[in-house]
This record gives sequence, structure tokens and C-alpha cells, in this order.
Amino acid sequence: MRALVRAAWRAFEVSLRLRVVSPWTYLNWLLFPVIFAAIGLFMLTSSGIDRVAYGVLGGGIIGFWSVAYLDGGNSIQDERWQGTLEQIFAVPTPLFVIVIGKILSSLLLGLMSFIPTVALAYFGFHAALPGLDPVRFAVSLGVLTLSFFVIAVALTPLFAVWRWAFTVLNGLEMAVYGLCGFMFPISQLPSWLQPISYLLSPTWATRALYASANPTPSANFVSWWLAALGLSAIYLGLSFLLYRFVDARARVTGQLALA
Amino acid sequence: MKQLAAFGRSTWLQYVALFQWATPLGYLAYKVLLPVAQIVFFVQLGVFATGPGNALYFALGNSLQIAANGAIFGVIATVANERHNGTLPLLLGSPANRLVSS
Repeated sequence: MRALVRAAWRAFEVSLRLRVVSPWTYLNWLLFPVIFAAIGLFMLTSSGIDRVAYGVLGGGIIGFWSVAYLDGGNSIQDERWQGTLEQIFAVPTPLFVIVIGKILSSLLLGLMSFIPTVALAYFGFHAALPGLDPVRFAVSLGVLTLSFFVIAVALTPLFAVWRWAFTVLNGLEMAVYGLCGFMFPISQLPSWLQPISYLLSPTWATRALYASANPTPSANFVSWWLAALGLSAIYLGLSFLLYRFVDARARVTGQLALA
Repeated sequence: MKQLAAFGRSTWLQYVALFQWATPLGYLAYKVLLPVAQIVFFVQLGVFATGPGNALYFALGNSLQIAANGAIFGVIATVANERHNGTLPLLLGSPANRLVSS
């Protein structure tokens, strides 16, 4: 167990060092969320106090998601381009341990997306969240982080076996912003799309996060947290099957780098 | 005629390699799903912020942005990717016309 923790820590450390010197990472956690936050704040600060939270936090959530999910998966794609993907599969350390280390560094940098976006809201638009409930907000952010972590860990092996997975999942990115209600409530969506939102764990965590930032009497935090955690547990169970499939497929086809 | 052939080959290779469009699924996701999802996202954000009366404004604005992004980003990425892959010196060293090969 200690050896696995040490391997995950090393993957975290190396991954973090590579990201700190990567301009792509700064684009994802600094520039990209600020653009979304500026658009959201520009439109939402003048449309009522109950909607300001979507402008203040929306850009940060989008940046957090982008770094956690895409940059985490892209780190596997980078291994392919650098010719080290085979080594990662062949070492005695299980793939998911290395992936966990990589994803944790993504989450750490992803959380930093909230710093420039909240700063922009406060200094640029004089927007604040006076009704924020700190305890519920912290728990909701923790649940959101966990749900992002589980999705990233579950989907990352797809990047290893199919190089087109990055393009396809990148194509789905905007759809996820809307389906999970990152910048507007999912009640805005057509009714036939909303059931898909309910199957995504970040939807429930995001709903709880916004409710804690802007108190609403009908908020049911415990149910929303449990829904997010329950769906994450299901994703985690499915990811075990996916890891086994990916491991077997890589060994059978022998086409890891060229897949 | 040779320059036309070089233009054709360059166009095909960039289609295949530029955005790693190795499969039709990837192409559809990037060129159909992503733009449609972007329009829907910003239209819904705009409707949430300003009401349903401005939906067409947000849809048209995003369509224009997506079209411009495809043209500008695609052209820039051709040169940037050559540099990233280490093939820019080979491209510049080749006798092919700069205009048709990029």
C-alpha cells in the first residue's frame, strides 16, 4: 500500500512540475475561466442579485472542470506523443495509481481557477456573495471536487486506448457546461434534456454549490450531496471494468502508441 | 500542375493530422457537436440573463464567432503544429511553394 501511495505521489509531483511550466495549463486555469467569467458577469450582474452567483462562480467551475477532465486526460495523450505510454502500462504499478496522481495535480491547478474569476468579479464588477453559507459551500465544493476526480479517473483510460477520445470528449465539453448547470440552472434546458443532467454527478454538486452561495429556502443539500456521491460511486464501479478492459485491450492488440 | 498537386496533398494531410481527426466520429464531435453545443450554451446563458427576446442575437453572434474561429485558429494551428512536431524546418526547407503548402 505504501508503495502505491508513493507511486501516486511521484506521479502527482512530476505531473505538477510539468504543468507549472506548461503554457497550455495557464491557458486552462487562468485565461479561459476569466473569459467565461467576464462574459457571465457582464450579462448576469445586471439581471438580479439571485443570478450574480452564476457570474461569480461560473467561470471558476468551468475552468476547474476543464483542467480536471481534459488536462488530466491530455496528460495520457502527452505520454503517447512522448513515447512513454508503453512504459506506464508495463510497469508493475497499476495504471489507475498513476492516473490518480496525475488527476490530483489537475484538481489542484483546477481549483486555482476560482482565484482569478472571483477576483475579477470583486474588483472588476463589484460583485460579491454576501449570503454565502461557508460550511455548506465548503462541503459542496468538496463534493464537486470528488465528482470531478471520479469522472476524470474513470474517463482517462479511454485516452490511453483511443487517440480520438480526446477529440470526441473535447467536443462534448460545451455540452457538459450546459447539462451540469455550470453557468445557469438546468431548468433553462429543454425538458427532454434534463433527465440526462440528472445522471451527471456534477449537476447535483453544482446545484448545492450555488444554493449555498445564494441561500434558497427550497434547497435540499443533503439529498443533492448524496445524489452526487451516489452517482460518483456508480462511475467508480464502472471505471474498474473500464480499466480491466483497457488493460486487456492494450495487451491483446499491442497497438498502444498507435491506437 | 505540380503546385496544384502539392496543394491537394497538403490539404489532405492537414485534414487528417491537424486536429487528430483520425476518425469521422472525432470530426463530427469537433465540427458539429462542439459548435452546436456552444450555440445552445450561450443562447441559454443569454436567455437566463436577459430573457428570451435576445435568443436570436446570441445564436447569430456565436455562429459568426465559430466560423471565424475555425478559419483563423485552423490556419494558425497549421504552422504551430509543424513547429510542435519538429517538422517546420523540413517544411521551410522543401522546394514547395509556401502559399500552397501552408
